[in-house]
Amino acid sequence: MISGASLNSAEARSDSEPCSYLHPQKYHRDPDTGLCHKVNLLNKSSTSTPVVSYVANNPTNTFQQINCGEGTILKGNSCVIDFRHEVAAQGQMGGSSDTFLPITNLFDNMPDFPKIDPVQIGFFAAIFIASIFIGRQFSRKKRIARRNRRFIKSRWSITSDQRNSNVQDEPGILRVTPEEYRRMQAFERSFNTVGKSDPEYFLHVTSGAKLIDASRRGNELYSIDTIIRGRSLRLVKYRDPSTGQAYICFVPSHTNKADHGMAWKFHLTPREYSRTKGNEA
Amino acid sequence: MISWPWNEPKLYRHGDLLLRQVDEIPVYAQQLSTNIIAHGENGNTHKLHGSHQVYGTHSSQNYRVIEPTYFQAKEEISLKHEEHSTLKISKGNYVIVHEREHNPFKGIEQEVID
Repeated sequence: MISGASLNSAEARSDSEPCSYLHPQKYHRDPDTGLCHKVNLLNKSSTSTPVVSYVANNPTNTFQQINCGEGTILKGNSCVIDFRHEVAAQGQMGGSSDTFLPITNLFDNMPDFPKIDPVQIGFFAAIFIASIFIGRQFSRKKRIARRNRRFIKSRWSITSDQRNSNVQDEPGILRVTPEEYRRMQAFERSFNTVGKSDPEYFLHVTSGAKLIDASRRGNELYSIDTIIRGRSLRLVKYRDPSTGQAYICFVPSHTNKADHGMAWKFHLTPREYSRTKGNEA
Repeated sequence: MISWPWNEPKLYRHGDLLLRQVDEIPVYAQQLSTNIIAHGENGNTHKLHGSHQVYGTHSSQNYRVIEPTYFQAKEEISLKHEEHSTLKISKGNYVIVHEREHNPFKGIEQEVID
């Protein structure tokens, strides 16, 4: 156990030493009495004064002697913590604290990394980028997109008559997506029920058909583009000359006139259909 | 060659039927002893009244069936149907054409039966 006397003798400092090594700027030694007083930190000029005076009063001090305290160095008029000192002290493990090592010396013993040629780096980077590019070009998604483009292109170049039916491979076969197939089924059901019984309601409410052409004979041509992507379904609405009842009927997608659609229905040319006027019942 | 209106073949529309005048009836057509030229889905029929002769050919749907395809009006005759008005047909030879419709989902054409 340490006695109080030994503590007092251990903490005794000479006049040349600062009041506090840890906070040299916080305490000021009165030169008349030799006692330490706390310094008001808000007044900076007053805090730096003791250090300056301390340095000025000790011109014979070396670097170590003008040190503000252990672990600190004097920079300008203020004492700052010296990290070099701590690092050096740790490196020497209990050696003299007077020894300083420059920071650059810490990296002198670092092992040399193998030097890489920049040309070699560029070569490997080019291979890496090229492999990514090639991989993306031949990815499954790209292959499918290319195949679809070829397919659509070939479909468009087969016949001008089937320009709008790029999803139809051959007569009787229609390639559609599952969603389109569901829409087709619903549309067919609606056409066979609502369309046959109430064509007007089917055209204007259920199907969302757009009117394309209306003739003087009362025929109307409608288009439905929402069932199959890229295909326009054409419907012609006509009335029975005797009863006046309305009917709707699909006509080929290349039909652009209502009377042309009616002529197609009866295997006639448009001009021949115009001649049937007056001979209808 | 100019086709004068009075020289053009006559065309009649009767419901779902179209009657087109032709110069002559093909020799392969067979005479039928009936006045019905078309049947409807509801049992209604298109019937000829007057002096006429109906001719039939093999059906495109079923070869064994012979359906009326042509008729000869020996004088002005009338064509009647339960739902349609009576149509007067002048003397001559006629081919019976059925109305057709397009099936966009199957990509085919099919006959309309009313």
